[in-house]
Amino acid sequence: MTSPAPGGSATGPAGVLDGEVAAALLAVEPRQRLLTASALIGAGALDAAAETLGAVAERVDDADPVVRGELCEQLLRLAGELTGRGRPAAAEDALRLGARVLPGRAIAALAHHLQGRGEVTEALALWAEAVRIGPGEVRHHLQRGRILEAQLRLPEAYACYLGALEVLPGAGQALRLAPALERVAGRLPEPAAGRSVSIAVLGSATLDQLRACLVVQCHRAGLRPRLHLAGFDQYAQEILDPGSGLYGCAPDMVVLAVHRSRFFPRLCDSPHQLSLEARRTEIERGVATVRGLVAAFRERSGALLLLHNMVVPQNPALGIADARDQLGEGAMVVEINRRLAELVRTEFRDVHLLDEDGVQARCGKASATDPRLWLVAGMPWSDAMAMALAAEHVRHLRAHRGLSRKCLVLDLDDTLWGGVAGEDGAARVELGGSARGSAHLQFQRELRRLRARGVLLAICSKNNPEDAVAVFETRREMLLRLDDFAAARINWRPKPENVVAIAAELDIGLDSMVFWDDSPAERAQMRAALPAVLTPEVPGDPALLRQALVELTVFDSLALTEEDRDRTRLYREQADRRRREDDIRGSGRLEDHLAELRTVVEIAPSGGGSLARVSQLTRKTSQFNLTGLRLSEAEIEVLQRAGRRVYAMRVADRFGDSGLVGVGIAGPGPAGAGTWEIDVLLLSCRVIGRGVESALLHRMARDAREAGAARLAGRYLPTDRNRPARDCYRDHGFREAAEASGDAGARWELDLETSPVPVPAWLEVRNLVDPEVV
Amino acid sequence: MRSDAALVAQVRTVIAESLDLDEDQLPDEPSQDTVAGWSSLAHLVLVLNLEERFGVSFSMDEMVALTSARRILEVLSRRA
Repeated sequence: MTSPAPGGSATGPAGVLDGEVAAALLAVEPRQRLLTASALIGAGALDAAAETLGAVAERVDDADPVVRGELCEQLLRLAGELTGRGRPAAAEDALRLGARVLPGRAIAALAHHLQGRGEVTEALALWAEAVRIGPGEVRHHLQRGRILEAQLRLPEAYACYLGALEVLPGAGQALRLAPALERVAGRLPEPAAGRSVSIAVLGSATLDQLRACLVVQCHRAGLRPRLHLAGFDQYAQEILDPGSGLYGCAPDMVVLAVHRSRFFPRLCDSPHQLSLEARRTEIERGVATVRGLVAAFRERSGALLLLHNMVVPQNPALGIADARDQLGEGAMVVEINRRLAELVRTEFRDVHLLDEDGVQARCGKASATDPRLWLVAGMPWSDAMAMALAAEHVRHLRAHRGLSRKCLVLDLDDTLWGGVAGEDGAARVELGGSARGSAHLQFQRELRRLRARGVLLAICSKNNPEDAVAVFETRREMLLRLDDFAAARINWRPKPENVVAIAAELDIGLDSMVFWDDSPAERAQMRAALPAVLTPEVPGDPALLRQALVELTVFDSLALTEEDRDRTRLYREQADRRRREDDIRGSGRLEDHLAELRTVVEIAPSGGGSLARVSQLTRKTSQFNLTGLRLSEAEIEVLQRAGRRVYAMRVADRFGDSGLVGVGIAGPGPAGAGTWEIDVLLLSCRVIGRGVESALLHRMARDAREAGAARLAGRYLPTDRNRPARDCYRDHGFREAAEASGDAGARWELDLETSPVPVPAWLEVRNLVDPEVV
Repeated sequence: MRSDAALVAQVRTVIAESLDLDEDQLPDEPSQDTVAGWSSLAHLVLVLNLEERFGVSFSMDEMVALTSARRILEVLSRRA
């Protein structure tokens, strides 16, 4: 290169100048060549352009980012022109060069090109690389997944799409990813029991966006959804017509998302022009409309119904004066929501008010709607809001299915307190006082709230036990005491091993557990060793601990039962019992042990006054559960109306009261009153192995005989977890009447004339009667 | 700046991806009238894809108007 740089000759000593000029020339030269190449492409001299660009690329390692970027652009442009002229091989060369210069920019184009030319294997590798470089580009995931699908590598394709969801949790991607997920899931083997779900969505808007978000959120939660979508504003017709698609899809969950302008039209325009009386009348009228719809739905379906509440407007017409109004726009909607909550709580079973107002507030009301989407497509929510709403729906669904997590396993150092007990000493770990100490106390307060609603807390800490215990015993600031924890492992063993031991001690599945640890290395080890355990990211800043815990919405239950409040004590007592049982088993005196427990069993018909708990047990009990039938409260009521008795069994012993832990549902079967059929027979795992099921069967046999039946019959439907219940009928004198066929399971019958069911001598049984039944 | 040919190719790619088609299934002048899969829902997917790919945010009128490759190119070149 010999041409002098413009204006670079007249000042200063020649030697210095020459050096500067040379440096300037080196910087300018590639840019000039790029300009030349661009002109050559424009003029159609593609080979010359390729040569020029190649020369720039040779020295690209020294080039600045601007040159790199421009070089890559020109190569992509050249490739486009070459492809347009039917020269794919030359285009491929340009793209390969581009991918070397700036992979993030050109690798996708190269992958596309190769895919188009049938070079599938290399394209697949390139898409994987593109995903690695730019995980935020949804099309990279989609392209890779599509090739995997074409190669029939379906589980990998499914994992690819799910992976895209994890790096693109925001939104906007659901409409693109949902079809891919549904396509692949439809070709995968059937999901495990309890994992497939039928959902219907009704509302006063175009709901495709919500549908896509629900598909995506269900798959993230390990569920396989089928969706039924009602048309714009078709909610009333679908509910009122018994032949509608709503009932045709046999839904497990129904979403009713109706804008307040439909139920409360007069309150939406200029409500302050109405008299106070007229506003109250409007609220009554609207609530009555909702009641009518929900009642009509409940008559036809026992599905879980999520009724959206109304959104409090951000900008009432009266502005800041709205709060002065006795029943202003804001206050009116608050009142409507209060009334709706009362309605679903007191008049209906399995209907829940979905707090759309709360979800919008969390999302930020200003960004919860996208006026363009509403005006163009009738979609009422922004993408982010639709995703957040679907997540809220899925929370209900998981709780309804008994898929919520039960136990939170916690680290101690830098989690419950600031600092390390073994190094700083119990007296010096931070608790309250400093900002850091206060953050950890705040975290403990939130843990205590979780515990109070039935979540089990456990400790898994690498520490000398005495160091850790000293903090609990000597630091008065501690909000959590050792007996707030259902189990603890404080030792130096690998944490996955300890978590498995805790799960065994509490007798819960690993898929019920959450592992919380401030160490990224421990988290990584847990994720690798025990993927079934949920291991969330934990913020490094203690200030954010509480928030992260609150936002971990995996412990939901639909309602708080009496047993939930006391759960830690129940599990601790159970662990005590089991330890004692193990001792006695070792010495071969099990019956002595059972007698020593002084077990009292109380059996009440009609659900024992707690259909919520009965329903919860049918959904959560997996081990001693003969049929695995999951029933909502509404469905149990339907069975009761059809003549079935719902036996609820409570068990207590000298270690404590276990509460309602057994359920039997039985009654005259389809063959007539001569045979009573057992639909449900289950025991909570807390009372397995103590013979209490005999008391339940004894009661059902007695009632069946009194009602004139000659036989009691039931089925055992094997699942992957209910082996403990396999021999229940055989052990109680039932005969196998029909072998298992298809999904039906083996049928067992007991002749009530000849084979009474004895009650074990070590049980004290109290049979309660229901005045309505007698 | 991108030449027309490169931009046209990119727009065709986005259309094909959004409508779940292969690029060679698209006619020379793809539009809502000539492509069967271009439903109103697919249109929204397309709009969202275009916004992401070209780093732009369309106005409501533009959203409605992007009914063919030609129109998309017009709107995009106005933004360039």
